[in-house]
Amino acid sequence: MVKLDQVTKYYGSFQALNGLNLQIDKGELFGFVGPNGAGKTTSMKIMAGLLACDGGTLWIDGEQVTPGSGSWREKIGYMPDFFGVYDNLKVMEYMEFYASIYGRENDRRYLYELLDRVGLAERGEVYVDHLSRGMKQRLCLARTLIHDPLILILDEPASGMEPRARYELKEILRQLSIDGKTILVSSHILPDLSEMCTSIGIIEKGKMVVKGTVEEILSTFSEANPLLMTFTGGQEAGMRILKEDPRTRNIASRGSNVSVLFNGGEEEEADLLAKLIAGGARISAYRRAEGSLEALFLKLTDKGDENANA
Amino acid sequence: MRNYRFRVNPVYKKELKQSARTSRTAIILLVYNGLMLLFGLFAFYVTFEGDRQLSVSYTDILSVYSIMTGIELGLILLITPMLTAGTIAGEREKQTLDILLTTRLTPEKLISGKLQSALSTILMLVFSSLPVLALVFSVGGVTFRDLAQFIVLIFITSIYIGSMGMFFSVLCRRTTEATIWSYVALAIVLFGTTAVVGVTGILKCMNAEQGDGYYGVFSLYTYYNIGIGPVCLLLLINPLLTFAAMVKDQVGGAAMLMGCLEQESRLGNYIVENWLLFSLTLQTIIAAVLLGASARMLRPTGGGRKQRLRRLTSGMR
Repeated sequence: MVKLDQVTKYYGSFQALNGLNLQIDKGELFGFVGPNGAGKTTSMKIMAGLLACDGGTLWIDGEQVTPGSGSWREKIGYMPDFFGVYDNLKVMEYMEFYASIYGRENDRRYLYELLDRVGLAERGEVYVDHLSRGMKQRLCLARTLIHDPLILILDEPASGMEPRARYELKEILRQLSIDGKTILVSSHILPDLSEMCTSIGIIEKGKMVVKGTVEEILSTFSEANPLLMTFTGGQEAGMRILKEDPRTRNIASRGSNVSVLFNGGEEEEADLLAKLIAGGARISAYRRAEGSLEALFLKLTDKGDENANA
Repeated sequence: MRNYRFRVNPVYKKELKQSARTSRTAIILLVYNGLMLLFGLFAFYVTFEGDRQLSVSYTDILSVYSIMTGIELGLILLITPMLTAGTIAGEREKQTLDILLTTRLTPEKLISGKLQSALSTILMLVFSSLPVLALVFSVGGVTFRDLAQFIVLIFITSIYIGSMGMFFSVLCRRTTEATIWSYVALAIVLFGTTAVVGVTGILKCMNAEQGDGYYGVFSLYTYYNIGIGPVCLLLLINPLLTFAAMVKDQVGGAAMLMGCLEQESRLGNYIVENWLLFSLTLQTIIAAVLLGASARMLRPTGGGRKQRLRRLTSGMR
């Protein structure tokens, strides 16, 4: 549905995008993660047609985007990170204005349906100025839906929202995804993304560092998480075995609980357990610590910083 | 049969709604008509009461018309940049421009909607001041045709000056910056052109007198005899000269100025006699070019001012 191939973008001498590759399939709810200045907004603006890329190609719904061609624009609904609303218009008038661009200003029932979808149907006659930030963001989302786009590009739609508003937005996005919209959403609130997105991509210094479903990514990087075990007996023998094993490092113990970084997959984990038991250790709990998107994000972007500093 | 339904520009409609809700338009209307009335009454006082004369000359009555329409033009020249310079820059400041540019709305429609809105306000000002101008009709000497011609002149001048405001509104990030540049451009058009013509005349004159052995001496005699030449065509873009040409055609005012222009420019009778037509045509062309350039710069593929200018000059995207 959306494909970026080796896309580059420069602002003067600063390279904002460095051969970015990204593919989002139809119906995906894709979370776009990256530190500030990584190139999220730039790539989203390119996809929305607000910026031209300096290199690479972009496809929207199978159509290669070229400057000047505009039919693909109709397929996109874009919500910028900092968006403005016309404060001295009422909610319905705001919707009517954008609807009039698409020739649908008289279809008030449709506009009410859209407002209802974002929970603002009761506020059609309220001035936009009187809405809370969360409501304004939902209004902006309703606005992006006016022309029934196939793809929604939402840049930080939940920024500055309180938890309740964030939850509501998350539910709306989930429903839109179920309804068949392809959604690209960027956010700094990683737990939200990991809960609602079907796949995520982490961008760093204008390049895609990792992409896949949350589970895939976390399992790929699970080896970076420590093994946790609880000894009920033979702890000394167990510690000796762990120290002698070349695949282990950073062994830490607190009472009977031991944490160790182990370089190996599930098979190797099972081998180690068998070795420990054979060596006389009695173990009541043995598992790999669960990774989080946040921890992974920090790990990957830290690595990027280290590389950059090197 | 196809249904050709007239559609109002959505931006224009929205702008009208928004401006109707602010006090700005009402304040502009009040100040504008207040000034018109004040100057109008002052002109009448000077003409009819000031000298305590028993008789009033017909020329004086016509000069009241020239003064009042001149003041009206002056006010429009001052107001138009203010109404247009903030249009696109204001959308950028409110962070609504990006949203607009990702919709089906074309830059051309956006520009025309904004310009229509500014022109509506200007026409409202002109029509609201008609009762003040009608004071001139109470003593006669001016026809409705003259008034209609004046309204057309105001309309074209507004588009011309408004297009400069729109251009800088697209080019500059901030409304204040765009407004300053619009007034600078207006000053260049009004006074810069006059200065260029004047300085050219003086230099030509001094050169001629050098040839005669009078080094560095300037005399009006030489100035009058040598003529300034085609550089006077630059004045075609000056709305004040356009107005002077109209006043000359209508009531014979500014005849001396236009006579001088004919003499100094060596352009021949045809251009000077049809100055109003040539001037308005050229100004309309300039406005069209500026509006086209504004729309081109607004095409949603670029970032900063440099890129907008580069896009304009290189013809890319």
